[in-house]
Amino acid sequence: MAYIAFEDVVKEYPSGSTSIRALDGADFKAGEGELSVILGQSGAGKTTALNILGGMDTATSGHVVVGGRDITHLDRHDLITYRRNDIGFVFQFYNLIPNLTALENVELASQICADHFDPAETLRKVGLGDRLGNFPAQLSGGEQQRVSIARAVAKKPKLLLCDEPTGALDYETGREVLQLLQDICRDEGMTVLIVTHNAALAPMAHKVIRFRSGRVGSQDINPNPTPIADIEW
Amino acid sequence: MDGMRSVVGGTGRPMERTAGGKAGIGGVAGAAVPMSGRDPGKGHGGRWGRPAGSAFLVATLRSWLQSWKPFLSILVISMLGVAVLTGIYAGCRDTFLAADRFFDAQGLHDVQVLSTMGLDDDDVEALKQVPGVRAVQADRSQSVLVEVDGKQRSAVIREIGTQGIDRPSLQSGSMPAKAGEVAVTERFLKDSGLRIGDEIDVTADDGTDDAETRDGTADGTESVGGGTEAAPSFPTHLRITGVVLDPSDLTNPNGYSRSSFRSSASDDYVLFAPSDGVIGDVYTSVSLLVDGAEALESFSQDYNDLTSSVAKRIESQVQSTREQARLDSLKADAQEALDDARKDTDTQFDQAAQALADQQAQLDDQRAQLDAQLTQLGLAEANAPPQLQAAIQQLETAQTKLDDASEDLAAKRKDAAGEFAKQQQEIDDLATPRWYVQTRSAIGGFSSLKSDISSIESLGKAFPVLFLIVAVMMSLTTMSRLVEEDRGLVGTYLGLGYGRVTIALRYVLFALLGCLIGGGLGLLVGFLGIPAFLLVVIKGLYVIPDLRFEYDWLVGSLGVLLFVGGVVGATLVAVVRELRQMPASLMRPKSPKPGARILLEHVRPLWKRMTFLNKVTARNIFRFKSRLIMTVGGVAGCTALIVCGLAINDTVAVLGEQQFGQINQYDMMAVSNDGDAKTMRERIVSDGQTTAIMDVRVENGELTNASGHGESIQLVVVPERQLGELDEMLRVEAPRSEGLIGWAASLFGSGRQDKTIALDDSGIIVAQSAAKTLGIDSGDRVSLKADGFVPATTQVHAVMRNLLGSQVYISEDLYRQLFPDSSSGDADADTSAITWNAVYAKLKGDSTHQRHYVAQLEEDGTVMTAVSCAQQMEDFKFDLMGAVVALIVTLAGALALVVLFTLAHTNVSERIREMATLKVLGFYDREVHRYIDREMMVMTLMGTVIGLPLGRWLASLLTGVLNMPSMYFEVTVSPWSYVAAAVATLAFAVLVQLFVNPVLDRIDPVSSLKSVE
Repeated sequence: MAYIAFEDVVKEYPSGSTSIRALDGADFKAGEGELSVILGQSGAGKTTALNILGGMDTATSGHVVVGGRDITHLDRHDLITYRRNDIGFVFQFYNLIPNLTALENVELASQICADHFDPAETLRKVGLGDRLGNFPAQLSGGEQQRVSIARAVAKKPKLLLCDEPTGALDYETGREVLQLLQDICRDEGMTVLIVTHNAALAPMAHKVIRFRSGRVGSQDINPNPTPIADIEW
Repeated sequence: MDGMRSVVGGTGRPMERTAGGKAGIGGVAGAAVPMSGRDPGKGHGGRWGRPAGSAFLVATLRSWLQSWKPFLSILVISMLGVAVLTGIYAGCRDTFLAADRFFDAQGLHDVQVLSTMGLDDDDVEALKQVPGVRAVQADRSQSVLVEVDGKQRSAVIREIGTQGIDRPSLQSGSMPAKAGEVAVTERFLKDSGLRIGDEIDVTADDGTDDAETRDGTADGTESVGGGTEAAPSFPTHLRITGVVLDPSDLTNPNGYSRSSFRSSASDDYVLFAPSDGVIGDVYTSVSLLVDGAEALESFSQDYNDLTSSVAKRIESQVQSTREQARLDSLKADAQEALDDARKDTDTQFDQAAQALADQQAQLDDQRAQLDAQLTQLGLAEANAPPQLQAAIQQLETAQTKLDDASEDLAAKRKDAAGEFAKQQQEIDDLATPRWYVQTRSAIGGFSSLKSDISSIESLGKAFPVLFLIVAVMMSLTTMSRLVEEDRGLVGTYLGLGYGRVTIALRYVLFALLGCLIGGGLGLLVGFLGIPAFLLVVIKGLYVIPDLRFEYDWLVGSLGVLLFVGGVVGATLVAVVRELRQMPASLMRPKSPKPGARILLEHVRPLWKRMTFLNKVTARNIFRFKSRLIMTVGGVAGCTALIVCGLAINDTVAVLGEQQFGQINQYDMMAVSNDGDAKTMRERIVSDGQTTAIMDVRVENGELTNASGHGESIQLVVVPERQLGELDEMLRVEAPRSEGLIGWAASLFGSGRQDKTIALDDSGIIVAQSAAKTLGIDSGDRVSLKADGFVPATTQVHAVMRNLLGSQVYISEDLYRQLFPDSSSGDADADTSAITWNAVYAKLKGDSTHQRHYVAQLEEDGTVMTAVSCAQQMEDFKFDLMGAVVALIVTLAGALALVVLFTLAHTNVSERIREMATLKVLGFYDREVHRYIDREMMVMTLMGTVIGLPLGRWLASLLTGVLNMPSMYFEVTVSPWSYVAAAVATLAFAVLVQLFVNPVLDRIDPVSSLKSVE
């Protein structure tokens, strides 16, 4: 069994008398410790796939395996436990709690996991060692996203899911954030999955999965991912 | 413009999510760029901008449907507020109106004139001439004794008015039509066990008892004697033909509060007889109707002003002349009678003297003849023949008899002269009759109804203010949140060229609609629901025919308008605050409230020890300052209302215990008629149930303060030899201090020594409950009137703590000094002294035993009333107040629930994104609940802690408003009331959490992925 497997997943949303198929038999795999990128246009189903992988939604049919565990039919409570212990989530808009300092935002996540990295240490690793006591409003967008990444990583997740992590950032800052994700994957051996519509990011990944109308159009394996510094777009 | 619309229009409202969920992301931020810096107000047709098209309307209506929760909270708050504002008022008004209708229908007198010596036809004629008097009726009544349930009870038999004034209302049977028939009240039938058709015998009461002045006034003429006038006298054998309702006494005889403190057991029964068979041409009173008074509400200030002005006019224009005229006519009548009598007597004496003189002359003749015979015979008297001797003897005997007779006559003549002189003296000393001109407020039934209902009404005026404040606070919170949620949308509309007014209307109309629907429902509750509840209680206390629900357009409309004003005003504030910004900045997400260190964090040792979630909670609480203020304020307000309601309840509940158990140290008070006083005292002493006895005299009096406001009081005369024992029978101490200082003192000062006050001859001691109403304090000069006396001025020596009743204590010496007994002459002032018609006694045995004994004692014919403090303590209740308090507590609870619900809802809706993020991070449902609930709980606790003392303070304000005669509210709050209020508030908070938690559960973690709103 692959570390992450998406097997013939169908997701239907009821819409009046008919239903809309957001995923129509999507099928892909991703390896442990690898950085994978899911590409696709708006409405291709990549967000739905992200939601299902992130334990925020369940598949109508098919199988979803994360870290060797089948999560397809988890109930509400088990889904939360799954999110809590197995998933780190990086949001497009950071979603930091405005009322908590950078350190506290990381603590918010780490304190609910039995096995976690030290929050302050994690923040130091993402380069915010001197901003621990700052509130989100006192940080730049890139810094906020770093806090968000630290918050996700500190939980020692099996899978780090990133939803358009550079969507709200300028070019240079976006590159720095992506570099950080690549470093984390390499240094910590963490499995990272980035969802984006920016096809230019493809070379940085071990594997590129392209979504098209609810199906996986293609899966390309890239034996030698390009460092982000070498990619221009 | 078209191009712009296509760009902006595409964004829609981010929250109006479609199935895919991600369509709008990124759109808002992008769309804002071409808009920046444009002022939509310029170049688009003025302030109104584009006319509001149907699309705008549809969008508006849809958004209203979505915001049903804020709509509901505005609706419910308006409903509660309007209901409280109008409900208590409406219940009271219904009662007042029904009573007014009844009074008008029965022609209850507006003004009544009484005189210490009755009134005559000339008085009636003079009163008719007073401007403003519409109708005049001369009344005749007589004090009688009637046997009720085996006991002689005093009653007043009254002539049914001939001019349609003070007509009793027939309840069953028929009105008495001819002599010997009588109508009675239901109370009489209930107490006597008689039925219609039964017969009763009454005996004239000699009027020496302490019956009210009005009942005994006509008796004054009798003492003069010999006059041509006669006091009213009614047939004594009577058949009951009907049951009537006396408009001057609406107390419900079947009500559960018959034994309440207010209706004294010694009230006289009233019997109504037709004019037929009534003898006497002196009127007890003259009743008047005032022009234009019928159109006014009997309990209104206008009515009061009008009738008082007529009463004043009578006092100033007619009273003194008629008093003098009445005196003159009484004197003239008496003088004439006396003169006639004297003349008759003189004539008789003269005739007797003449007869004696004739006899003397005869005797003298005979003697002369005898002497002539003797002279003829030439004999000396000594040796006259035997026949002559015998004749001489006879003559001498006759002479002696005659001398005796004329001596007798002279003595009799002297006696008669003395008697006449005495009567002449009486006539000369005849005191000027004194008139009492009274308005309806002198009618006990009228004023007790008025004060009962008014006190409730004043509560109904104070509470809505708090409801209004809370309502405005809540609508400000709700609408601010609603407008804030629509921030992007407002920006979009502004960008599209819609005018500010149009957009503002969207929210104003929303609030207005909620407020109007809520107000309408509130009017229904206020004019039907709450009065229905209050009237049940009022009907238990009073019999008022035709009591029905009535709507008051003015108050109803103003009530709704008040809340509309408050809520719409708050909405405008919220909308304008937002609309003032540029559309571009509106479409950018509002920068989230920055986090900040709170004061608590600087207390390092404490902060370090707090768990992480507690720190988060602490910071969140102080992060949203306005929410903190609203929540704490709202909760504190509701808690305070509940505490206040319960406090009034507690205060009323302990009134009886405090008065009858603590202040009254005696166990029994027994009152008899003056004539039976000795017998009663002997009976009590011989029963041997007492451990201490104190003689007093109890009578009705009136106390008037410096500004002329008078109240009837119970005057207690304490004998000089027992002055020192007063504080054994009563706890005579200074009133407890009021307000928070008194409250604080009472917390610590259970062992506090109250200084006792001693009664002496320097002035009177006034019960606090009476002093409060009149606004008098120790040292004030007041006018005191004892029963049947002219008011005298004296000084208030002290005010004593007393909660129920309106007693005034006076020493025997001072009483005699103020009210010299003129009728009994001067020489024997000491012996004629005061009749001690009542006793205070301490009894043996426990309270059951005491009650039993007192009940037994009251059966005794010589005892007019005997009351046991133990019984009074048990009987004391004030149901009307209890009902209103229950109502207020319920409404305050409902308000608390709505407030907490609104705030919880706002709190959650503001932070959906935060909740969703927590869910993505893997917080279990319970952890998310705790994250939110803990904040609400802490704020609720803070609100409760502030609300408890606030409620205590409010209660002291309110009981000050509830200024009822013969009652003093000494604010008492049982610790349980604080507990109950706190538990209720916290229970509401928990209940609200039960509502909110499912809402939290429904938050989709996916929504955290959306762009910031």
